[in-house]
Amino acid sequence: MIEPGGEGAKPYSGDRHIPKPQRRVERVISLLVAGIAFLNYPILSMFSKSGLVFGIPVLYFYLFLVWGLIIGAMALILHDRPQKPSSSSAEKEPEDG
Amino acid sequence: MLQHWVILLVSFGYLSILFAVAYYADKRADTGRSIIGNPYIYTFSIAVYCTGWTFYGSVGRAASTGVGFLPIYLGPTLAATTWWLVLRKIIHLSKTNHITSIADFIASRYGKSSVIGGLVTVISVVGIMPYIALQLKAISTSFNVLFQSDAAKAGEMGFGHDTALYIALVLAVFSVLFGTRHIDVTERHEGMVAAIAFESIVKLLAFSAVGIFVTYTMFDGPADLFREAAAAPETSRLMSMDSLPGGYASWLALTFISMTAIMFLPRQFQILVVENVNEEHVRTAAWLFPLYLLAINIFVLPIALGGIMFFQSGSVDADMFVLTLSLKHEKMVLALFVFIGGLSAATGMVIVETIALSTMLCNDLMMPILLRLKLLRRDGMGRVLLAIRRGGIVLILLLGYLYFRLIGESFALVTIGLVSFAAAAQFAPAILLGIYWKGASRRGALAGLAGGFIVWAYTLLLPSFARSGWISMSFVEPGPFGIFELGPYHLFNLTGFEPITHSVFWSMLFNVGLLVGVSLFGRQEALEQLQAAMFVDVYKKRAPDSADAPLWHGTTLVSDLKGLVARMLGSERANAAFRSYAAQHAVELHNDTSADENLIAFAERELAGTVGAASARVMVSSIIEGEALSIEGLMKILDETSQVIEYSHRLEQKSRELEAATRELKRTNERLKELDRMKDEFVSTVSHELRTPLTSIRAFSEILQDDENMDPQQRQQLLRIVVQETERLTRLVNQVLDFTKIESGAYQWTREKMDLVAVMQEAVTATGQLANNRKISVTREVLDGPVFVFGDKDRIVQVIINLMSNAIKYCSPETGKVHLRLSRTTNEAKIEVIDNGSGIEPEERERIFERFHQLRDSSKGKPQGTGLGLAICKTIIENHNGSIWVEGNHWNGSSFIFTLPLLSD
Repeated sequence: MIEPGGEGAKPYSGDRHIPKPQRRVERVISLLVAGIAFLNYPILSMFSKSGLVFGIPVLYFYLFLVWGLIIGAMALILHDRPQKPSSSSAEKEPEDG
Repeated sequence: MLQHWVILLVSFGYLSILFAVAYYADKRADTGRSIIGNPYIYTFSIAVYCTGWTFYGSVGRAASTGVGFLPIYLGPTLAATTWWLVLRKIIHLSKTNHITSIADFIASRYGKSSVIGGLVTVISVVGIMPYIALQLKAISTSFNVLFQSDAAKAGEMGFGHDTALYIALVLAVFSVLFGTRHIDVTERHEGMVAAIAFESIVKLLAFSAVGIFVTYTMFDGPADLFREAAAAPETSRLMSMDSLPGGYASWLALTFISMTAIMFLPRQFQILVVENVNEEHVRTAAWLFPLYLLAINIFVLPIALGGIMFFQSGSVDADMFVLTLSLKHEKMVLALFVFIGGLSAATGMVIVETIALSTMLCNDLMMPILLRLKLLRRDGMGRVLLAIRRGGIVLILLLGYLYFRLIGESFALVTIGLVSFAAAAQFAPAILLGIYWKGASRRGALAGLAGGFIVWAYTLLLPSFARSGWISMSFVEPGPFGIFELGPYHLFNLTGFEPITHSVFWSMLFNVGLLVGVSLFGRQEALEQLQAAMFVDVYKKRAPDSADAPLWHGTTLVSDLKGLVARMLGSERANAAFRSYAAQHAVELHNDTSADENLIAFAERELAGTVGAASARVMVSSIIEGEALSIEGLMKILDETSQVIEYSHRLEQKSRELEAATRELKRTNERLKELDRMKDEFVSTVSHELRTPLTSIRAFSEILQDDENMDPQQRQQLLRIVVQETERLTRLVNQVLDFTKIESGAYQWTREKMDLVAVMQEAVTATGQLANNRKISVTREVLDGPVFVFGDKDRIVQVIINLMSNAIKYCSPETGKVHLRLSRTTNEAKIEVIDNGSGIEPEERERIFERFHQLRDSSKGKPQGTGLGLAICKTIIENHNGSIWVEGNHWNGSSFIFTLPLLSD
């Protein structure tokens, strides 16, 4: 289980019976939009230049970094289950549509 | 130098290992301990996405276009972010509908249309042809490179250029053995999935091995490699976007088609959707699979740069750098490992793709045709299916080989593959719009798919034939018939895009435009609407009892249905399926009873798992007699909205009924309360009425008792009063008894035929004395003949006496007149008692028939009656089905009128 680390203030007060809002759909779509924005013109053109960062070409460093961040964010979003005490295992999500 | 036999031995050895893995997985699956039921195997199997293209082609692509190889992997990463929403929905739909392929899925969505299924199949087979060719080229080239250990001459020696043919044949046999071993042709292949996952691990390890070799053995780590590369102009240009032909537009187009390819290439759909074991696995795969892509791409650029710097002049095919670099350094084991990795990548793709395509060819193209031609009515259709599938696999590989022979030498690997990607992208609008927009219609999908496919073929496929010399090159430049505007690379004069971007733009424009346009301006058939609603609203909750709304309305025998399923699945599996159905639904299935809608739907689903939805529908409808689609069933689940409306209608109706019942109960309660109150009143009034005469009797008796010297005349008067009061008391008690008896229904009516004229005579006689006493004149008006009614004579007499004595009592003595009139209509006798008394106020007229209602006449002081007389009259008359009321009259008195039904003769 991956705990959400740096996602800022959570509306999670410590009361174990208040379910934390999940907003998984919104998060996923935001991630997609952000991914498309960061991996395309014009942001991409800012990194299309010669030079090395940590010994790696800037463009490649940037692309792989964004790539890795998307993967990390995805893992966080999808494995961020509600912290229920013990009962009711898999959450059934009536989302979508 | 590697001996030929070593290479062949290793190759076949590796393929045998794959078989072993598949065999083991199948065995485990048969014993119910599946090894593929976890998200990690699922993720690795999705990595069938990385083919010979990734393994060999990416390096070649990077060597010429720099970052140009990356959109192919960034696209799927972006697409994976939507998997939790989109892919899960598609999987859910496919599982509920027993979807066997992408053609089946699209056909199902658009009204189980076999035309759509066929079109998708054709697009897939033609579109994937270049992709298969790519794999053949990758394997055969790598074979030749390995044989020759001389990259420069590869392709011309060794087995000669027929290497690809042998490879195609071996792969065909391999795929046939892999995917179509069993007679039971279900949609899932556990062994294949396990083998593919295994291959994904092998290719990742092999590629990483070369990467590490290049980066850390040939160079001193990545920093050293990039520093050297940055210094050389021919490698440093690869480090920016400038080296990508088409620039950012091309980047965007490649990202887009990769986003669609990861889900809608037939083999990806097969692995992602059809072979999926559990929807929850998407949760892990959505980030783990992009991580796999990232891992397999890390070393692409280092290998490409290393290769360019090592071979300098560019005399070596950059697509084969992974192999040639290790060969040149005499790392034979590494080279062999790399070769196996490449073999893994290519065979994995070919196996899954051919299985997926042959399933489509069989279910969505051949079956509908055979069914339509009525060529498939015999037993053992399972074997026919299997033969078709096997033939399909061979056909697909041979098509791939043909394409390879035609154009293979003139294109780089990735360029060939992108043609297929652009074809797969044509499915995206039909699927994505299909699962989120109910309005997308069958004709729209058909037009969109056909339009997109034609544009794709015109702008990508035909030019590739031209390049290989099959069609004249003038077709491409300047354009057909020398018309520049029709040139496939600059259609309608759209210039400035490189061919892929250009084709993606036009084909998507036509595809989406036609799909949306035709849908908006067309009409959907019933089944289409039904399927559309089911696909779009699959997650919405249904009204509780309509979850399985039956669709079939005709009738068929259980045995016919079972026979049909047995023909496809074999009788053993059919029997097992029907047994489990019977057990689940707690019903007994007798062969000669007729199958209900649920059983028919169940059979259709079972068939769909083998032959696809469109074919299953045709087959089931062939044995159903009567209406195939029940209108009620259709209306029931036509769309969620109507369903919810119906549900809420029912709720409303229920609550209306409840409200009505509540009102009824309230009314009853009121009436009961009223009765209770009346009872209390009755008791207290009766007591009161009894007390009044009792009090006077007692008072006068006491006077008589105390005063012994009373004058006899006065004594006589007092005694008369006592007697009168006693009579009144008796009358009261009699009336109360009568009344309660009648009210409670305990009274025994003695009904007989009687003449109302005689009855009136009797009553007049009985009241004669009273009238004489008060000097009231009583007149009578009767009919000539007798008037017969059926009733209790004594009671009717009592009613008339009651009314008459009331009239006499309330008339002034001397001047009083009482008139009695009997008349008749066709079915009623009417008796009126008319007086010229003081009359009754209109507002009192209704109430005087109530119990103990007495006319308080201030001038008379004490009320004269008991207050029960009229109530009794009313009860008696109503008991005789008559009615009684009071009116005013021309004498300013009152007329009491009652009617009785005449005795019919």
